[in-house]
Amino acid sequence: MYHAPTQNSALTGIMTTSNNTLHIGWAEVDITPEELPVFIAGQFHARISEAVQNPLKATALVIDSGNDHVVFVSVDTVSISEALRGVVRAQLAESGLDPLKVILHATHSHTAPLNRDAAGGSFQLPGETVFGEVPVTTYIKFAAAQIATAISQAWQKRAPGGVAFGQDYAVIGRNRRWVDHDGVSTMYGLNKNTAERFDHIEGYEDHSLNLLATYDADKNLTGVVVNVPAPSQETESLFELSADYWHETRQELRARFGEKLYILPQCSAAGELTPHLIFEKAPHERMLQLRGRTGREEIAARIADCVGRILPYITSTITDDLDLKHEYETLQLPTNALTAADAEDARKDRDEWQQRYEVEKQKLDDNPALRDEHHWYITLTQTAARAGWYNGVIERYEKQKTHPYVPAEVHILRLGNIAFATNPFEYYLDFGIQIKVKSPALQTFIVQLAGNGTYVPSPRAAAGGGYGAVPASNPVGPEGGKVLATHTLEKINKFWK
Amino acid sequence: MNTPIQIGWAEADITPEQPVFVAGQFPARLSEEILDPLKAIVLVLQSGEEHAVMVCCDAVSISDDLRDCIRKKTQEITTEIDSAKIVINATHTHTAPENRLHDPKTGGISAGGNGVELEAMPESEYIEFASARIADAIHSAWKSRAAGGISYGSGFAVLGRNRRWVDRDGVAMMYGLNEESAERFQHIEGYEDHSVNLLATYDAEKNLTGIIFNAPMTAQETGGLFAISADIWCEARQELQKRFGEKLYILTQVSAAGELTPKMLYDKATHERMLQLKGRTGRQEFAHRIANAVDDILPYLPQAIETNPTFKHLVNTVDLPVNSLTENDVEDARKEIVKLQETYETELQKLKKNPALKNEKRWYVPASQAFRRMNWYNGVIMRYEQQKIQTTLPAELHTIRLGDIVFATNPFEYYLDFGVQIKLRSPALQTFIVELAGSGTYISSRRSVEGGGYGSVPASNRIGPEGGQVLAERTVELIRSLWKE
Repeated sequence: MYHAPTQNSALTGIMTTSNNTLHIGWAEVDITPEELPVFIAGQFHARISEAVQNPLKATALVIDSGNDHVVFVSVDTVSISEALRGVVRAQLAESGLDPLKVILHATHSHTAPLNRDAAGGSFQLPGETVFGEVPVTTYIKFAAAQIATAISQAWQKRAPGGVAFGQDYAVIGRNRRWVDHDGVSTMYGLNKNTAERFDHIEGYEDHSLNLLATYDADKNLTGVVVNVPAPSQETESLFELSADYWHETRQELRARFGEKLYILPQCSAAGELTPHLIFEKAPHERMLQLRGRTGREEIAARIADCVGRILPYITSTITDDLDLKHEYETLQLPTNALTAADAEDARKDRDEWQQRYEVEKQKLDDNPALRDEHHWYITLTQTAARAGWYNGVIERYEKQKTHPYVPAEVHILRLGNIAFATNPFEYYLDFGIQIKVKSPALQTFIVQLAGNGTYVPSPRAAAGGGYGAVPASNPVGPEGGKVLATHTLEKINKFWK
Repeated sequence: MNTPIQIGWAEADITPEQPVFVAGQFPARLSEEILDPLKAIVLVLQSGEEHAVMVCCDAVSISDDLRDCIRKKTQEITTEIDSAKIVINATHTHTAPENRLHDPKTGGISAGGNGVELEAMPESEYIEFASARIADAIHSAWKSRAAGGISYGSGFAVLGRNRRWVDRDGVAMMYGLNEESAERFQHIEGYEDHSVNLLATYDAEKNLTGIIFNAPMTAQETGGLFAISADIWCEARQELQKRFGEKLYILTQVSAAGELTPKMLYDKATHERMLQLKGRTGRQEFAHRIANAVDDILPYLPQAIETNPTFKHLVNTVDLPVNSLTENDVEDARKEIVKLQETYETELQKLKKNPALKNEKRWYVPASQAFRRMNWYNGVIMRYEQQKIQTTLPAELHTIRLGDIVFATNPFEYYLDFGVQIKLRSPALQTFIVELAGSGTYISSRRSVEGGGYGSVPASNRIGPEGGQVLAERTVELIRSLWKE
């Protein structure tokens, strides 16, 4: 925010040759599972995929300055499990690049296959393992191989090129949490009755879109990094595989800027933001009807409009003469310190959900024909997952006595006058704004969900409670969130000194 | 059975013809030039016995003096219009003439009361001048009204930004985020609302004639100038007319935006760089965003033109509880007054000792700033005394149903939390909140008062969060009453 460019002129950069000549490589692979059905990740209840609505993609961007390099991989998935990342990196041992400089980050599509192994799954199904689904490990193996191929291709194809960057605005990610007159926070759930208690939207919204464009040696546009605080979950409840709004967005961007354009989505800090509106839904729906667009097409149009407002003006600043610095480390963040009361509350909730699960299971056992009904397993898996969710609090309460830290892999990069800062979480916006406000970079591309996710709430969100800001949601709490922000800024600042 | 809607538009130039005091900042500002013309835009809607006259002025706010003068002069021209149904709102440009009469008894908030001797067009004269032109425009719009249609839609544009931030200790501030203070930054205090509500009017042949552009954005991108200007709306009108027709009428409404302005708290360097790359000023950038938002909506509206929408206009005066001040508030105000009095007198002494200082440009700024801030705090003391006998303040509200949409006005700079409350409890398909349909000043949200800072302190708030909540409740009730009939 504060410092003017210190390296190259931010405005007048032109293609030059230097020792720092950037080499840039792109690749895209299809990671739609070949073997179906699969578990779809992103909701409490299980969803077994019933169709492929559109393809899932992984897009790799290699930037190599000669002195340092980075590989960004955007993946159409809800989050990046350590299992997936580990298998990808393991396959890159002989590739010539540093596998630890590969950053996998998720678009947060809620309609992609589960990529966490059973132990880390979002739901547990005691006694219920047979849904006819392809094992998660099969998908991890397949997706990891595809992603590793993309990375290798991008690395091998890297060639001299330039970059340019800019910023504009697109209203996409909306705050989904509201506070009532008593200070109690709730996610969604605003209706005619609850609206009478509404006091305010809890936090802020960030509609900035940070864009990094890449060009070949002839200044032809080759790809774009589109960084927005908006997870890809417009149609998050489907029982179909889909990249969500990034599918339409890729189509729209390519229709406007070239069929061969590579598109790498990044989700900036947006722990409490989604594309869903919690008020003014009716006028939004009406406008969609008048425009003849789906919600996803509308988002695609907004992003493409925004990119269209930036691209024409940044070509004059294309440069290949940029230094790249990339550091990564695994931070040890303080766990969300749970109290005995938290554990006790969780125990009660777990037992209640476990009981509901038993009732549902008994119902199915008593009448096996129920299993022939469509989506028969929803209540069963939802109750099981909820019980497991609360059980996690009890487990963490015990674990914190000996392990008071949670590891978090973070990457900090400087590329000319812009910074990238990754974290594995669904990081509440207040922290993201803290980083943006204090960062010396001209533009700070925060990349959340470069890992296995889950919410890190802001202090004000934790004070209000509600899904996303309660002990069961938060292995790392506001304290850890603060440590992460502080550390991220220290690292960025170090690169600017 | 509804009656076909009759629509009339007109526009008046209300640029002062002499130097004036520019309203909107603490220091006196004597206008030194006219950058671009000030406008008043008039839209008349009439159906059967019902009518509404909506007027938007390039002004920081609409004083009761100005409003009453416009109504009186309109009444003198025609008795066909119910003057109570004239609703006048401001764009909140901070570079337009003061239109409040200086009255020390009311706390001396007019820029005309500035404690220095300066030659400027008296506010009373500007009120007469502007009112006469606006009344003529109202009459012209009324006479020209003809059968037509309306259509409406919504979209988004990032315009008004939240200017208040909270530090680690819960203390809120307006602006002032710099390298040093940023270390204490915790979060942006409240929300931002980037929705755009648009009403388009058409003639009988379905040609677009005008638009109402309603967004939570005040026109104060260049609010510190010693000049006359419509601010963003100068460029926005040009851009809109370039894209949608030179004869397009554009009526601006500011939705609840008490703590929002076009100024950014962060990402400023990025914004400036993009402006340079685009070769635009900040105002031109906003004009583009406004025009882009309109362009995202307008092409889809002709299919939904209505010629006989439900139309009802309520005019109510509600009594809002005053911001209940304490002895401590008064004591704090007194302390500030003592300091400011000293500053003011020091400045006057300087000028007395060295009269040549008055030859310097804007010599009057330090003295007038101290004087007006002193008056600002003095208002706390006066209100503390006043609240012993008067516990409420009246506020004129207009609630206008037009088809499935509603306009709900208030005279304040109404913090966004209340605006969102109204929007989400309103039964209307689109709720056009119109703030600054009156003399303004802030009504801050509950969370904002907890943090304090300019806009959310006793001196800023004649009405506090309690009154703000009453206003929200009454507004919702009035809107709902129009959906019950």
